[in-house]
Amino acid sequence: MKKSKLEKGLTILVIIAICLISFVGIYVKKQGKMQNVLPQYRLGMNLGGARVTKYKVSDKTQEIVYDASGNVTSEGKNEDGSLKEGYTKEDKAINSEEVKNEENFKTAKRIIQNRLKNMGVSEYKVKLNHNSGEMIVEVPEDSSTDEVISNLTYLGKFEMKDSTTNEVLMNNQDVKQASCVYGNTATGTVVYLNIEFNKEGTKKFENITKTYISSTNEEGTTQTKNVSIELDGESMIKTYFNETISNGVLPLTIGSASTSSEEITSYIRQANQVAGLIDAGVMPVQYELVENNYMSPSIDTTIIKIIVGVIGIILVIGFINWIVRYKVNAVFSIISYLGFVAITLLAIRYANVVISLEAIVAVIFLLIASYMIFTYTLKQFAKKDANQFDVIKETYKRYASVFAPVLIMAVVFTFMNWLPISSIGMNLFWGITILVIYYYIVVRLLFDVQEVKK
Amino acid sequence: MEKLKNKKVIYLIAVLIILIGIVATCIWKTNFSLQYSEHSRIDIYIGKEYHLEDLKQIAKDVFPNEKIDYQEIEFFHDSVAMNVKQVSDEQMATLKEKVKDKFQLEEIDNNISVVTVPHYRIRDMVKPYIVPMIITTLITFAYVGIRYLNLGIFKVIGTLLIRLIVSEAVLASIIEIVRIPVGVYTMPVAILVYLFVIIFTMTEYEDQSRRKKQEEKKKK
Repeated sequence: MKKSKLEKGLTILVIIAICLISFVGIYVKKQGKMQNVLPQYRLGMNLGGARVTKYKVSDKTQEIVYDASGNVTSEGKNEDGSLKEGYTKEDKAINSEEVKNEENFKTAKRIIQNRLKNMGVSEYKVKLNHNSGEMIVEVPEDSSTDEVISNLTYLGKFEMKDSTTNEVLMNNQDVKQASCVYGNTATGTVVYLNIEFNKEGTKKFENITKTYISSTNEEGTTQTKNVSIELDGESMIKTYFNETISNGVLPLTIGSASTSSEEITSYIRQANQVAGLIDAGVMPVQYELVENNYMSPSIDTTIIKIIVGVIGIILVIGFINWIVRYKVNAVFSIISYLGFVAITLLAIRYANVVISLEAIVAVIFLLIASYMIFTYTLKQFAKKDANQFDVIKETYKRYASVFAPVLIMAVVFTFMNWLPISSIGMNLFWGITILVIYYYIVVRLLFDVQEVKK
Repeated sequence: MEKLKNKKVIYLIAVLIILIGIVATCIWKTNFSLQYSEHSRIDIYIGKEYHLEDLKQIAKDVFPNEKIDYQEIEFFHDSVAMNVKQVSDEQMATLKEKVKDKFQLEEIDNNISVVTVPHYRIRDMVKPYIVPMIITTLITFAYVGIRYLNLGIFKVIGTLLIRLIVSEAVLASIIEIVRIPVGVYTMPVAILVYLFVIIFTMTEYEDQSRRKKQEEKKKK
């Protein structure tokens, strides 16, 4: 079946228009400036820059006040800051010399990595100086970066204390897992920080919920025994228990909102961050943030230029090969090929897919895959008994089998939390999906069996 | 027969490369790119807009024949970081002097600082890829086994597995032998090799399977 010239002409015009939009953009005058109205590409850390922070092992000291019997106390000072009589004080290093060792530095690095993972940071680099303990942490620049960075200096010490005596009733060793959960109630969505205790912790917690209660004695006086739940010595909540909890789960309300999704998201983020801190363990060394800067990517652009140049040259050679061997249909193939690249790039922009340097894998694969498919199509059309539907069917059949593992990779990678990997997956996924649909449309509209036969 | 001979030669070369690679790994330390190895980052606050070319010229004088990576600090285009392998006191003094002169700065000592950036470990680089690669490979093996059942399930999976292992080992050996710096491009290249091996093998299986089906049809 021969296509009308109008049909082909219109198809080519549409593809050229898509190419222009994708490669050049759509420019509109905004505030006296010409601006591209297409969404910007979202770049990963190694292409878009990162927040680079430096943490050093704290050399600060803390003042410790002792009472007459040599016990540490917080009540040994007068209002003006002077020591009460009989009390003594000592300036003690936050990190003793004993804790400053390579093993602890490595543990601290692992905890920081776990925290970043628990907080949902999609990509990070942690570099440790094994001698000094200094750490350089790189995280992507976004709205949660500052919160993430500030959370890294916490020790992550979870404690449940008697609020009167300060006796530590439970700590991190009793915790099995901390997580963020949320549920819908009549008033809206409530976000909780769920602290799940281990076997021993569950027993301790059950006893605590029996002891720390509000009760009224025979004289009608209400007596309340409170616990203070603290993170790094700072009280998160002071509370008592209305009922015995024997399932070993402590749900702490972080916040509730009736309609505002922004508020809910913020509570979820807070809960996740605290859960991340508790879950990752206690830092054996106290760190302090000494540098915090955004830094542009350090990728050597000459390498990228070389890669793009080499790909360009290979493509040109490939196109010449098509023209020499398949004449008219080769021209349609080249136009279709460029159209495919343009549509994929547009899809990546609109689908908000992050492009990391690792996504170069997806780009190269898609360029090769689409070239293989169009070459096979041209070869099939060049056969004397070629039939358009058979060619499409045959091509799909062959390449669905060959590229199935790549589709498997695309799906698996897309669901990974590590951005460079999900970036490969998402770019592959969009590229393959578009290729499947686009190939059918373009071959149906442009390729002509009769012309090749001549 | 000819094909079989070729395959044997290819595998022999691959084994040879891997052996040399193992020896090279024992002799030399892995070569890391500047950003992935321990290096010095010199942060320079210029305090006004600058041209990177001016800085590059200064760096060329202070660190001749050395690879230098530049990064902008913050968004104001008034600070820059120079990443160099290492910097001596003498080089630092010269750099300070030249930057001060070039950009006519009144104060320099507080405007330049050196940060030692520790090296990025291979295990940290590879770790995130382990789980997704294992999952992908297992599902691929299951798919290949079922799809090309007529070629023999163990044969197709075994061949693919050997090819994947050998190709990645060859890549790692080439990196070690040629002293290609391990860095940001290493993992993408490793995944590309993985993909190419799979596509190549699948294409081969597809053709073999088709031929076998045609032969069976003919026999019938």
